[in-house]
Amino acid sequence: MSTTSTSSRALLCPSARCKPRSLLLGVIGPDGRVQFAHDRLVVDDAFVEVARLGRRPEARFRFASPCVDACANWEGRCRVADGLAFEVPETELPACSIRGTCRWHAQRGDDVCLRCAYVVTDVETHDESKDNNGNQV
Amino acid sequence: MATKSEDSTFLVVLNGLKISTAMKADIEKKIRAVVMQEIATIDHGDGITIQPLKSLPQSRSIEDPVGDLIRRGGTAGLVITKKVL
Repeated sequence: MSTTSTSSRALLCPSARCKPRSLLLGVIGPDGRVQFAHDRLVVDDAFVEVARLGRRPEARFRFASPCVDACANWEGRCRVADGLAFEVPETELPACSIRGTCRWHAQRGDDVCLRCAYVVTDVETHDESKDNNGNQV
Repeated sequence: MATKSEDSTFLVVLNGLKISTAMKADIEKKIRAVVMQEIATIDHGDGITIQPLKSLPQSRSIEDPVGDLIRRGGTAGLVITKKVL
């Protein structure tokens, strides 16, 4: 396991919000695991607009955007990445378009990639009382 | 114009017309935009439940940070599993 604790600059967070210029990492499949896109797919305004018509985009897709020092999860390391320690049956790394620039991979190496497909970003996804902007309905 | 699809590969063949490089690039850009907009409608959510990371014993070390993050309305990692009926 890598113990990298360098600045977050230049690395991508693989658990980002749906917003223009984010990268679409993959789609959450029927089995609840992420189906990773092999190519870098850049999200544009139209994608965001369409995606927000349904359930929260972060509950249906995974996005990446630059890792930022201001993130509440950043303490010299990403605390979310460190928390991904559960057992998984996978032994082969998923095809991922950002591995070489991924914060989680830089911090923990291939070990975290095996668990990445089980992660969904938005903690408020299951809250049916809120709309796509997090407002009460 | 002929179209063909196989798995996730789509081909559009348009022979005979003299299309400039600029127009070809514009067409490709628009095709990509349409594909992305279609992808944006995907929702495989039925039967999937969301399990907070903190509910996993191995991940309890981040329970407090994540809880703090939730209160701030920020982004946190979660694990999802298929609902067992």
